[in-house]
Amino acid sequence: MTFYKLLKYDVKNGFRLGLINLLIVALFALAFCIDFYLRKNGAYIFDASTPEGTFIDYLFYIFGGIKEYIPSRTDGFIFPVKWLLLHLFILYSTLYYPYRDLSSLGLNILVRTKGRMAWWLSKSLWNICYVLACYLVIFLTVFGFCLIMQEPISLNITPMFVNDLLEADSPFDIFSTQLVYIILFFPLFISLALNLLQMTFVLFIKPLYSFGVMAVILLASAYLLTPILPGNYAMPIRSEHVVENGVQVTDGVMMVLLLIAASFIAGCDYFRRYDILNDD
Amino acid sequence: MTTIYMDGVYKKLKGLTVINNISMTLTSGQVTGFRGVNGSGKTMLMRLIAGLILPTKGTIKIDEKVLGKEITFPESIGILLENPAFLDSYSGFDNLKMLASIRNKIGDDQINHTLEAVGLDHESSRKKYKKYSLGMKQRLGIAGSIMEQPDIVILDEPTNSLDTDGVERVKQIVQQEKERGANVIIACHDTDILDQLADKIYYLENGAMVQSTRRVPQA
Repeated sequence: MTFYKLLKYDVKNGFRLGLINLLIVALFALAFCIDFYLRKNGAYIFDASTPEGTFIDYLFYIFGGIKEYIPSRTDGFIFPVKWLLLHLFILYSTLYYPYRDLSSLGLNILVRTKGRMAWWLSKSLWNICYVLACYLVIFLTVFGFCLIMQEPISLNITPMFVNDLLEADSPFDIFSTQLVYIILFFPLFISLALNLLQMTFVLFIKPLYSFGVMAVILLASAYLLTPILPGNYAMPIRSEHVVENGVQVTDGVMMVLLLIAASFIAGCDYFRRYDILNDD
Repeated sequence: MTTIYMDGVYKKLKGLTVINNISMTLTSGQVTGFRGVNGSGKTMLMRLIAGLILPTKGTIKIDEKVLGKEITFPESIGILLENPAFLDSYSGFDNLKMLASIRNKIGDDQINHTLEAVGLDHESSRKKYKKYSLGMKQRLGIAGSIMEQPDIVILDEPTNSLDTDGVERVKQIVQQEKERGANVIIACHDTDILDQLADKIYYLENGAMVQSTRRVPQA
C-alpha cells in the first residue's frame, strides 16, 4: 500500500513538474511534421501530384536518424539535429526530478516509506511512465497533424521517401512490416533504457555530467554504426531492414533488456547504501 | 518508546572523517542537544540517526534493531533538517497532507492543529509554499516533523529564521514532545535555547564528542 502511495506521489508530482516539457515535445513533433510536409512538397514540386505522407512516414522522418557516416575528405559529419534534439530533450526532462526530490519533500516521503528499494523502484516506474508519455505525445501530435492535413493515417511506408527525403541510401524498393514496428518501438525502447541509465548515473556523478554522458553516447552512436552503441537501434534508417549492414532487431532487443536490467539492478543496489546528503 | 544506541560510530565522506568514534544512548522522554561550530558534525550525526547516511564503522540501533541492516529507517521518526524543503506549487497544508498520506495515521484536523501550534493560521497555511517567508517555511518544516507524533523527533537548527514568537513556540513544542515521551534530538547555535531545552548536551568538535553535560533539574 505504501508503495502504491509512493508511486502515486511520484507520478502526480513528477508529471506536474514535467508538464511544460511534454508540451515542448509536442511542439518539436509539430515542427518536424511541418518540416517533412514542406520538404515533401518541395521535393516533388515538378511531379503531377505531391505524394501523400502516411502516419508512419512522418514518424519515420522524426525518428529516422542519419545514414552511416563514412569519413571522407569531401563529406563532413553532419549532426542529426532532429534526432539528437528529441532524444536529448526527453533525457533532460527526466534528469532532475529524482535528484531534486531527495532535497525536497521526497526526503520526508522516503523516510516515511521505510524502503530505499521501494523509492528507487517508484522513481524508475515514474521515469518509464514519463518517457512513454513523451512518445504518446509525439504519436498524438503526428496523428493530429495527419488528420488536419488530410494525410493518410496508415502504417504503409512510402518507399520513395526513404531515399529521397530521409537520405537513407537504401538498396531496397519495398520495406517489410517489421520496419514499421522498429519505427514505432525502437526509438521508444532505447529512450527508456537511456533514461534509466541516466538516472542510475546520477547516483554516482552530478546530473549534468550524467546528461553529458548520454549526449556522448548518442553522438558516438550517430558517428559510428556499430551494434555496441545503443543509439544506432534508435535510428530506424540504420536498421537491417533499410541498409544491408544495418543493426539487427535481436541485437537491439538484447541491448534494451541489458541496459534496463543493468541500470535498475545497479541503481537499486547502490541506492541501498547511498548517502543522502543534499550537497547540491 | 524508543531508545537509540550508537556504538563506535565513524563516518567517512570523500576520505574525510566527519564523525569520529561516537558512542551514546538517547532515551525517550528526553531532549538531547548537539552543540558545536559549523562543520563539527551535528547535522551528520542527525542524518546518521535518521538513516539517511550509513556509518562507515560502528553500529546504530533503534530499539535493538540495527539501522541499515534490520531496518532502513527508524520506524517512527520526524525530521527537520537544516533547510526545510517542500513543493513550491502546493500550499503548506497540501504539502503536509501529501506527507501524511504515506502513513495515513492522521487526518486534516490533526494537520490543522499542528499548523496552528507552529503559528501558521488557516489563511497562511493555504498559501502556496513559494510565497512563504523563511520563517513560515521553518514553521512548516517543524509542523511536518511533529504532526504524526513520532517516537523520534530530530530538529536541526529549528529556530533558524524565526522571530521571538516562533522561538517561544519551538520551546513549547519541544517541551510538549518531551512530555509526550518522544526522543527529541536538537541541534542549535543558540546556546541559551539549548541550555533551556536539553536534558543532556553533547559537544562536538571535528566529528568527535569532546564533552557532555547534563542539566541539573531545577527545584
